[in-house]
Amino acid sequence: MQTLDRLLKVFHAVFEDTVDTDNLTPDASLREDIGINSIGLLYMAMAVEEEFDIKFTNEDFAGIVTVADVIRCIESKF
Amino acid sequence: MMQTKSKQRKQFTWQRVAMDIARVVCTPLLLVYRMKRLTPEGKKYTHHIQGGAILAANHSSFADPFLLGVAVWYRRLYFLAAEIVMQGKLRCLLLKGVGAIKIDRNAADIEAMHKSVDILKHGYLLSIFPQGGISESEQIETLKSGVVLIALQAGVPIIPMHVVPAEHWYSRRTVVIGDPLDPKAYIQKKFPTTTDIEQVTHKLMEEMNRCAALK
Repeated sequence: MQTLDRLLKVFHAVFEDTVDTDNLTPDASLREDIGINSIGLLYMAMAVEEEFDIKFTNEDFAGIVTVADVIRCIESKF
Repeated sequence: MMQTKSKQRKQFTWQRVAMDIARVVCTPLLLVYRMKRLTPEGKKYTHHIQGGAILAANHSSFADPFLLGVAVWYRRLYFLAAEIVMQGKLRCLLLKGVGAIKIDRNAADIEAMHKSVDILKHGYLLSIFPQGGISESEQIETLKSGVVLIALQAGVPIIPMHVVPAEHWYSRRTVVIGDPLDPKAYIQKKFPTTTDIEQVTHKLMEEMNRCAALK
């Protein structure tokens, strides 16, 4: 499964009741378009770490703005 | 086997030596505070907390982390400290020495989360003040849900507590200790939704307010 598909699966699981995950695109901004706040980012990060068996750092987080940034970050850790 | 050895080695870090020295130095506080440990029903709290757990307490003064340390004097206690408290090299060094973990409240501080989960998985206690700052209000109205997220990741219970504010620094202190709340008992999904976590956070708030209701 592609990284994007797996990531969307995680988004859907974590934010199913608060975010419209069906229309997510790689260009979507996590904060502005999806409305994820800092604690939401942590929910997402913890779930992504579990799904992909990786660990994020604060430095990674500083560079994450869009869904595509999350994918880039995940793929840089493989 | 390797994992067991690594866990044993972790017992002897300089930070833990400093924490033990601080505990010995702070022992006289036990006499000053003559701390009463009560259950929410007003009975004497006689359990010894064992294994990894989060102590979630109200935060009405800077002394709270140390008061919780006195309440569980028989255990090493780590605590999350806001970035503002950890300013200055010497203060940062001293606080780290007594078990503080720096957390940036203005950002999604994933590294502080990792450290907290790691400490809890090694069977230590971690105190968190989930109100996110000092508040003198007796009734807790909002909590940060990161506390539940950390507990879920580490697979440990959260013990709600209430440090009863005192009139003077030397007044006898009371800490009310509630029943452990296990988030895993409420959330069994691999990926809990934000709503699931908010619901457990609300449950924790109710338990903390139950502790606070004891007069």
